[in-house]
Amino acid sequence: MTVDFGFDLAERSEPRLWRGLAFGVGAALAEALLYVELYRVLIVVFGGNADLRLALEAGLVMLIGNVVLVACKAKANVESFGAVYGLVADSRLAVADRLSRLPMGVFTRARRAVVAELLAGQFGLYQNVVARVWGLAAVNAALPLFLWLLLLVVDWRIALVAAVFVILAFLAVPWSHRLLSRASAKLADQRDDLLAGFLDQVEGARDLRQYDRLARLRQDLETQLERFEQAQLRTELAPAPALLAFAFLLQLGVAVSAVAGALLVARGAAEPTALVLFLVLALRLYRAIFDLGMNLAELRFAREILGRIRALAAERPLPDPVAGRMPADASISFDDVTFAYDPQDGLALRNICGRIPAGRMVALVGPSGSGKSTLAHLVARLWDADSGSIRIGGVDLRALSAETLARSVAMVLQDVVLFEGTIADNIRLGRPDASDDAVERAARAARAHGFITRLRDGYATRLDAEGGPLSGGERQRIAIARALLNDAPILVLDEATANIDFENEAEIQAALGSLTQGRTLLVIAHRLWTVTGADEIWVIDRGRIVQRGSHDRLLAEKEGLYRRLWDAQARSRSWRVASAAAPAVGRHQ
Amino acid sequence: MSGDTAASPRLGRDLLAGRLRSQPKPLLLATGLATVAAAVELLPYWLVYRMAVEVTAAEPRMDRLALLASLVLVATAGRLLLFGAANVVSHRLAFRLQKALRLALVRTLERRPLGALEGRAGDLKKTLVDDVGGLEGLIAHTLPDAVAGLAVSLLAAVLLLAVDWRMALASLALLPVAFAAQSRAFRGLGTLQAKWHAAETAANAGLLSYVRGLATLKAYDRVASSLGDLRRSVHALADLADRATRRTAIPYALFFVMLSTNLLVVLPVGLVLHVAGGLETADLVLFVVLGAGLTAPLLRVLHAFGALEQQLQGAARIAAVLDAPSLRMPAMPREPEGTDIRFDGVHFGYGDDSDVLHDLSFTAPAGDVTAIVGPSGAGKSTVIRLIARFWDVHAGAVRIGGMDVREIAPDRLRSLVAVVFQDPFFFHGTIRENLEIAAPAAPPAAMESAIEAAGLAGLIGSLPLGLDTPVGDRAARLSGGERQRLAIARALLKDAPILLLDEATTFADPESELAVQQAVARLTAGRTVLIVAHRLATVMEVAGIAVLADGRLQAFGRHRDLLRRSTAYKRLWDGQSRSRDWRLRA
Repeated sequence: MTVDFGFDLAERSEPRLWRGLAFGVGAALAEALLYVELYRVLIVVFGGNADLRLALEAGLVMLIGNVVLVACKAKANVESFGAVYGLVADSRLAVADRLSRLPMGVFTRARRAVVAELLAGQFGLYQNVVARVWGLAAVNAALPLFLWLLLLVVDWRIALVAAVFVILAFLAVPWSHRLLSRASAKLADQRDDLLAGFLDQVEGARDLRQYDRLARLRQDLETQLERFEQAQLRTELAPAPALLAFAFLLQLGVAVSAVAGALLVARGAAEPTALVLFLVLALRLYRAIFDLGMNLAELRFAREILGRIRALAAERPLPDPVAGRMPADASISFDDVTFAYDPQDGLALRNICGRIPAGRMVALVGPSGSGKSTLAHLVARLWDADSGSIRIGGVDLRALSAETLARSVAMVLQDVVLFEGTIADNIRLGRPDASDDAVERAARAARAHGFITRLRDGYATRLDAEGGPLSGGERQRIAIARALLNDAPILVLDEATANIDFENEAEIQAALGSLTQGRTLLVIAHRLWTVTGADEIWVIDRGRIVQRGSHDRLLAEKEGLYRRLWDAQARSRSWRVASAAAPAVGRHQ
Repeated sequence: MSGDTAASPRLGRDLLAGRLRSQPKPLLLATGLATVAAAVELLPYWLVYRMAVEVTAAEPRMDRLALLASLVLVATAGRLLLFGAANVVSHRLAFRLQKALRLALVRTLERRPLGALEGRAGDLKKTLVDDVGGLEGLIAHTLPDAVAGLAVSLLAAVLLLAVDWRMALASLALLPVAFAAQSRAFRGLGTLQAKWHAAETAANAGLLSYVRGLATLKAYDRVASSLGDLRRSVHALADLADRATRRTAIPYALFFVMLSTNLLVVLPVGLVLHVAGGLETADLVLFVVLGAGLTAPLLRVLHAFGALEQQLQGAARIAAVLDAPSLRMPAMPREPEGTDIRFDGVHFGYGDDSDVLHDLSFTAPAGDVTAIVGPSGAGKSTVIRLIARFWDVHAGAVRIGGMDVREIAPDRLRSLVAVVFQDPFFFHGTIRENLEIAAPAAPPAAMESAIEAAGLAGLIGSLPLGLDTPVGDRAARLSGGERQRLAIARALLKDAPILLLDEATTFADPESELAVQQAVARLTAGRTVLIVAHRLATVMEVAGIAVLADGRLQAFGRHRDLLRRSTAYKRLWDGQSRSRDWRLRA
């Protein structure tokens, strides 16, 4: 197994780790030298020539050896621990950076959870394993090697017999890994089922309890728990044959070598001290080798984690142009754009053509799932189109650098994402070098200045990961301030943004009013009346533009989808919950 | 919102002690086997010593050497088998305990007030899965390892004392140094550890929020390494690790070396005694061989205790969930007379916070629709939660048909009330399975009419698998409007006389929205309905509107009266009317 610290992930190497390993090997050498001294002492003792000078010498050598040993071990720890955690911090950030170059569309909700677990949990495991295990493995490999070399010098025949059994024992290691991974794969599946069951039980309690279904669900869970218990036991036992073989072969090596050595001694072909030394060393040697076997299992685990992290880091990023071009203006044009999330699921958009002149507004209208959000997402390059092209100011999106694209297109969607940090930090995301004045101006225009200054810490108020302590509508206005500060000439807007918070609708609407001024607008519309002022409305159904034109023109097409949606909306707007006395549906004001 | 107290390790200890004491045999067997296995572990050392004696004898006897060597094998095989058996017994015990605890937890959760579960799925999942999972280490490894390690050390000490007490003391001489080094290594580590946990939590939270916000960050061309907060919190971990290691490296190495090799004292002392004529060569060899066997097992004990604290904290969290109060059951359940809902001077608050509802009184008459309106945070959803007994009131009473909901048998209450939430829950399964939870034995005709009334017939007809179409994880394959209608179909099947409805605020497309409204109209007909309304226009024609603000009832009446009488209502109404006709670039 080659030493793998994951330097490629951190995009730098770390010489301290190699130094740490070297000190670990140094510690092993120091310990081996203690046994060399022991051998010398035994020869003298067995020769019957021991005296107090020998005791003094042995004491001194042991003292020096132990001091060196402690120093090497301490130094090895300092070097490898300090270095590994720094290295892992860099890898985490580097991998996180790489994620932002992937097509954003791949991050579905489920996928995000996996990635987050990888960045948080798995990286934590990885750093703990790497920091500890490589050092231990180095010592546990070096020490037996040094002791064996000593044995080779003392009596090569005993040494060779012992080596054969160690090699045999290590053949069992991959076997145990195979047994274990097969069993744990099954266990992992059952664990997932169990987890899903628990989550249903807890998350669904609210709805399931009113339907008296919890008990039934619990019975299923009991069966699952029973099966899980059996699987756990099987997994625990699965690698037992290989582990037993491993331990037994090692010990068999001690016994056979001892007998072979004794035969040699009896024939006068070996020194008794050689055999005694072997017996003394055997126990220490095999303890180290046994530990090495365990270290290898942990390293295999670390390698799996690294593999998962590498797979993530290796995903194909959206290609970035070598030399980015600049758009001529803020127009958007679609030229025969076709796109599928997954070729198996069919096309999400097909043959979309159209142009939005700079400063104009186009609204996308259609049933849910028709593709209007997908089209908007393509403009911000969350995905690349499969065929055809989207141009901004005459330049294909793929020929714009990430920076130019970010400065050209801003997006305000329903689900606002705020980050831990101050309110000012969150607004400044739109333009990192913005002055405090500029931040405040943006907040004022977004109708956010008022509630921000009412907070005790004002702009310095820290937000938690959920955006607390702000309400939904307030969060939305922070996002609008951010987009205002960004000042991109093209805005992709989800109209339902205006409707996050019923009490503060007017405020958000005013904020959107300032944001949309003078920009090219692509609006995803749910409430048709909000976009009747659009220069053009594109009606999308099942991935195609089926109608386009102004509100009045579209309304005049009596058989068109737009007219149908408009009528449904008119009825739905005037719908009232009826009292017992009143007629049920469709009374107009 | 959680009423659970922070977990103290003692709670965890008590929980485990109680569970293990009720079934002491497997634990005794496991630790007994582990102890015997550990004792047998000493045997090869002694056999090696005997071999050394034999080899150095004037006339080494091959047959005895061979016997000793085969005994080494037998002892090893025996130890492995004993150790394996101990392992099986302790794991079996651990797994059984885990199953029992998980079941107990699930049963407890069923009896808890629903409010106590809301928003806590993450925590509870962690307890059910991870904390219970951590007990495997405690029961199957920590306990047997600690007992066996101590036993071996004691046994070896007794043996060596019997052979030569001076050498035995020499073997133990480094123990105080090791422990002094250890306590030095661990001094101040507590605060460092607390800092570490805080730093790790912060870094993980930062990374999570980064992943969540990837698209937003990308839109502004920002990467992780350019976010100061995230970069700092990730690097803070490395700095802490570096500091902790620097501080503890030398004492920790000293501790480790002193416990694993003790030739340092044994060899010179042994030589002095040997030279003075008080120690045979063979005994010197014994101490050189076995000296390390005396203290090395203590390493195992200390490793075991290192993990103990964390495992006990997990156990304490389990205990906290198990001990949390369940919903009180009425001793003598009583039957409501009618379906009107009355709030009588209700006070309620979550946790120690100030009242969410303050002296709330109103009546929703039977068979009619009553709406609750008010700004967000006014306590509207809390009203629904109290009727369905997610929580119990602090003072006053919620009555159905004149009867306090706490006096009604929970089953009966459940059968009386159907609740349709804004974000209904569906489990992984088919449309049919998700409907059947409302009425397991519903005849196909009833199922069909519910589907028809909920406006789902068209959708289901268009699906190749019809009712047997899987809905996906949390019904992700359905649109928002479709999920709403599926929840309505479920409530229709249940056919309870009282309906509590939380109006959806999110937008479906126009046709889907209309379909939801028509479904609601059919669901409300002929029932007592309490609706939390976010759009005032929707409920302007209902019989009674309760206007809530800051947990207090501001006014109650019909739309027309309220417009005249209630400034709170008028303000809400005017605000919404102004924004109702808002248009982009009008």
